[in-house]
Amino acid sequence: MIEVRNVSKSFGGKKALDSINLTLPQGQIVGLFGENGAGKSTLMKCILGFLRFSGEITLDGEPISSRNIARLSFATNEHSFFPNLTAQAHMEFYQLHFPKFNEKRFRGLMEFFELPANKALRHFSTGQKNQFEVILSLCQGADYILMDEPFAGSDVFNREDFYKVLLGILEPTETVLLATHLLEEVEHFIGRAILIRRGRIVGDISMLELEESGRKLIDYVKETYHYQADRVSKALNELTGEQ
Amino acid sequence: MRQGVSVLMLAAGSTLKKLLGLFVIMAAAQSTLFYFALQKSLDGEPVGLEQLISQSRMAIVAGVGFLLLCALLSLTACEIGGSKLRYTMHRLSIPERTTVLLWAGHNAVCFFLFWIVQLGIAFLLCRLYVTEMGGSAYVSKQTILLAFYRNSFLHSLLPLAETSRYIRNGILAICLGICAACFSFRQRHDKKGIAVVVLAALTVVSFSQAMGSLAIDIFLSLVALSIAAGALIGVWRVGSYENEL
Repeated sequence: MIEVRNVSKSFGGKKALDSINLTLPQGQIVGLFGENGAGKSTLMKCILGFLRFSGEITLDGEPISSRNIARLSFATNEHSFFPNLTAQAHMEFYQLHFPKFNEKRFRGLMEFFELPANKALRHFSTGQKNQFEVILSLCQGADYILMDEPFAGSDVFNREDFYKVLLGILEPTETVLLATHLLEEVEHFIGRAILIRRGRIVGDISMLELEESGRKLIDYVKETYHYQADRVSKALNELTGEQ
Repeated sequence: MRQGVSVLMLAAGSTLKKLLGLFVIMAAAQSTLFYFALQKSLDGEPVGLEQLISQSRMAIVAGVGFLLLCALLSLTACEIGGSKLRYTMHRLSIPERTTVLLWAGHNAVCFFLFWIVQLGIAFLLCRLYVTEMGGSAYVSKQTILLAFYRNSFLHSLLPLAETSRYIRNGILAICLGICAACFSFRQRHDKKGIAVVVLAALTVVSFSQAMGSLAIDIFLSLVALSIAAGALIGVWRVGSYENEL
């Protein structure tokens, strides 16, 4: 289990994360939602040890360090692969560094997304690069797969396919933390939704609870964010001078 | 062990073709310039080998080639291909600092190769001079040997009995290798690396030294060692897990 306790992070005096408390047990698909700059990426980077922070983040009671970092993988729309290497070369390289690398899953996903194995990644399209980034993160044998807007810039079919595949291949012990804006797209694939706003967790609910209460994820988000439904009409009235 | 080799292969894989290309272009440029200078010499007033080496601008072409090599090695593993390699480097099974040392070794080998290739080109062109100018008063059995004593550039490439120059060149290759590896490390950590720029400029300016310039050789070696040590300390200070990616 990943435990995030009282984690805060500031950039030049501006608080990006403010006393975050969170637990991520194994075997969940968790959606992390929030507007741009809400702190989604910062939280993920703190969990992965890419950023210094105050507070504590542990993985099964141990701080996250070089000893256990292989239990976490990361897919980001910034991409983290080697652009000059081919997909095949990546597989061989990752197999050496991540002993639990799942070659069968890698080959299966490469085939499913119809990605070329022997073409340097810099020649891939943006959609293909996103797919490959996600494939790499899913095949490292990590228990916790952190995805930060992995499909930014990809088309809807691309994303649909990915969600379906994700549900089909995940082992019961694998956890996915998926940061995205695309609430409606992912609500049928996640088991839990965490809302982050201005560096604070403002909502954390299981999809089962939501379902039982007869609400949709978007309703829960609007309710949590105190969304004013008449905001648009008011603004339009002011702009056009109509009553 | 295998993980270390895999990291080395990453660097070697992305530099090998470019390195070979650089050698071919450098050899072609130097051969062409030398050939034209030689033809001019054959058609007009003949000149000695050392003078022809100077006239053919061999040292300048070598300097440009050397700077290109520095750039090539420094930019390897930099985040210039639209990918944040830092996230992967941070999670590999070998620490990023170890990777810097491995890549420094790889870079040093590339600089040694550059030295050997440049020496080979220079020697072949000297042989061409001897063949073309055979029978003239400018050629004797010792023409090439004497040229490597008298011409500063050739002497610095092959210092013959001057051991201190070999040591200086070795130190330069190793220090440049370290600085180039530190450059990409610093770039991945959003920091600037100027050590390789300073050392490359210093090397270009002061590589060609006349025979017996022991004091300059020692000074250059010490400066190179200081710059490389500074670059390595910088890497250790930046660290890996303590740093913000």
